Amino acid sequence: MKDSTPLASLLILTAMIVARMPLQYTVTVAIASAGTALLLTTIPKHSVVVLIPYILIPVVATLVPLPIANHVPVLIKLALVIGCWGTTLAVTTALTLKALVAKTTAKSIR
Amino acid sequence: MTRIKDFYKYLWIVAALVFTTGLAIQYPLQTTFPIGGDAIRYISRVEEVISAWHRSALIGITTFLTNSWYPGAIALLAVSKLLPLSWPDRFVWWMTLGHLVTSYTIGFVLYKLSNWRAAAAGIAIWGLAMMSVTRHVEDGTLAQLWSLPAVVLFLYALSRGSLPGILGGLATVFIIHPISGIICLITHITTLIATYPIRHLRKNSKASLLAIALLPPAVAFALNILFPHYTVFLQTTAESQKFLITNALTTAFGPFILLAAAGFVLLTQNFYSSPFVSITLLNFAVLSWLLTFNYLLGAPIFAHRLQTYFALSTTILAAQAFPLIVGSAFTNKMLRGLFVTFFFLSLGSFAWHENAQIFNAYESPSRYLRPHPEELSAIQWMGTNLPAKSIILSTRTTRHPEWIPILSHHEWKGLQGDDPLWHLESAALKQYLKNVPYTHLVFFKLSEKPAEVFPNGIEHFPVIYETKEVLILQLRQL
Repeated sequence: MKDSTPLASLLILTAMIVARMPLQYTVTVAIASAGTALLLTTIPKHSVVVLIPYILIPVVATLVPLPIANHVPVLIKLALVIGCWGTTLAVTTALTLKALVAKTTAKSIR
Repeated sequence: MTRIKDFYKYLWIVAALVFTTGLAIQYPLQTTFPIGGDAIRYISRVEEVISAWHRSALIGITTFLTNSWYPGAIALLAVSKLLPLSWPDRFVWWMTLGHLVTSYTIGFVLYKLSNWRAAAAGIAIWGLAMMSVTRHVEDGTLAQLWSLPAVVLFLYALSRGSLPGILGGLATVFIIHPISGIICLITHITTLIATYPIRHLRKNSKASLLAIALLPPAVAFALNILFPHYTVFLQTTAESQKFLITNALTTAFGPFILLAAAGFVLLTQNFYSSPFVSITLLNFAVLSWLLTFNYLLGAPIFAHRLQTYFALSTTILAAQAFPLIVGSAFTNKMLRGLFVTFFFLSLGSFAWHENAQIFNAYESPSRYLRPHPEELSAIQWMGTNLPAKSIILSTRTTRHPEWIPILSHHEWKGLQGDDPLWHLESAALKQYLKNVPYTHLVFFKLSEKPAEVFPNGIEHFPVIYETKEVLILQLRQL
C-alpha cells in the first residue's frame, strides 16, 4: 500500500461513521468519494483502464438514469447494457494485460 | 505466539458468528407469524408434493418437478417438516437458518479467497443486511434466500476455475432459484469474456473476442423474439419497488455500501496477483449493481427482488476492504480492536432497534400486515369443528385466506372480488351452488364487508361462526 492509503482509509472510515448521522447524504458520499479517489491513486498505471468497466460504468449506472427510448423492449435494453459492458471489459482487460506483458518484456530485456 | 494468533483469529470469527446469529434470531424471537406473502406459496407447494407422494411415488416426483420453478427450494423446505413445529413457526426458523447459512458460507469463501479478517467481517456485515436492504424476510422469498449460499460457492468455484464446481454450482443454483441461476450464468459468461485475453493473449483473435462479447445480447435478442409476450420482459417498476441508494445509506448496512467502492478499488489492485478471483468477484458485483438499478437503465425488471444480489456483492466487497482500511487507519492493534468492536456494536444495536420496529409493525393487529389473531383462531376453529371433506370458499381480497388449507387442513378455494358468484340472484345462486362442491364461505371482515361483497347471498345461509373480525356461513351440509 502506498502513502495515501492511511489518509484514504481515514476518510472512508469517517464517511462510514457519519453515514447514519442527520447530514445530507451528499456530504457522506463526498467524504467517501474523496477517500476512494485517494485510494485510486495507489492503483498501478497499467491497470487504470480496467477502472472503466469496474468503477466508472457501475457508478454512472447507479446514479444517472440513462435516456434509452421507452419503446425498445426491456430485455434488449438490458442485453445492450450488459453486452456493451462485456465488450468494454474484454477490450480494457486485453489492453491492460498487453501493457503488463510489454512492461515485463522490457524489464527482462534490460 | 502462533497459539495466541490463532486464539485471536478464532475469537474474532466466533464474535462475528455470535453477532450475526444474535441479529438473525431476533426474527423468530420477536414474531409469531411469518412475514411476507410468499411464505404460503412455498408451504402449499411442499404440502402438494407430500400429499402427491402419499398417493404414489411417481405422482410425488412428477408434482415435485412441475409444481414450481424452484424444486430445490421446495426440497429444502420439505426437510423442515422434521422440526416438531407448526408451519408458521417452521417457516420463520427456516428463513432465519437460510440467512445464517448464507452468512457462514460468505465467511467460509472469504476465508479461502482472502483471510480470516475478511471472513469475520463478511459474516458480521451480512448479519446487518437481514432487513431493509434485502427483501427476503419481508417478502418471504425463501427460494432466493436459500440460493445465496450456492451462489457464493459458485463464485468460489468460478474464481478457482474448477469445472466440476462451476457446473455443480450452476445446476444447484438453477434448481433452487432460476433467477439466481441466470445471474450466475451471466457472471460466468462475462468472466469468460474478461479472462479470455488472459488465456489467449498471444493468439490475439479479435473475431473470437467479439463473438463472445456479442453472445449475451444475441441470446437475449433470440429470447425476446421467441417469447415476445412473456410477462417478465414487460415488467414495470412501481415507485415503491425501486431500490433507492439514499434510503439504503441510512440503514445499519449503509456504511458498507460506501466501503464497497474501496472494495472495487482494492480488487482492481489485485488484478494481476489473483486475476481470476478479482475478475469473478468484480463481474458479479458490477452485474448485481447494474441489475439492482436496472430502472435507471430503462429496463425495470424486478428491481426490488434483485437488490438482494446488490447486498450480497456489497458484503463481499466491503468485507475484503474492511480489514485493509481499518489496518491502514489504525496501526495500533488495541485501538484497531476497540474501533472494530464499538463500530459493529453500535451498528448492531441500531440494526436491532430498526428491525424491532419492523417486526412490531408486522405483529401489530391494527396494522393488519399479517393474518389477525382472530382470523387465525377462526381458521383453527374450522380445523377442529368442520367435518372432513369440507371445502371452504373465500374472496382473495387479501392473501390471509391462503393460510386456510395449511392451518385447517380443509380444501380452500379463493375467488376474485369480481367473480360472477358474488352478484347472482337468489334462484341462480341456488342453482350455481348445486353444481359446485363448496360447503362453507368465510369473510375476513377487516378487509371486506360481507354485505357489500355478497349482497344477495348473506341472508340465505346460516351463520355458524361470527366475531367482529370473521364471519363463516354454511353453504351446504355434508
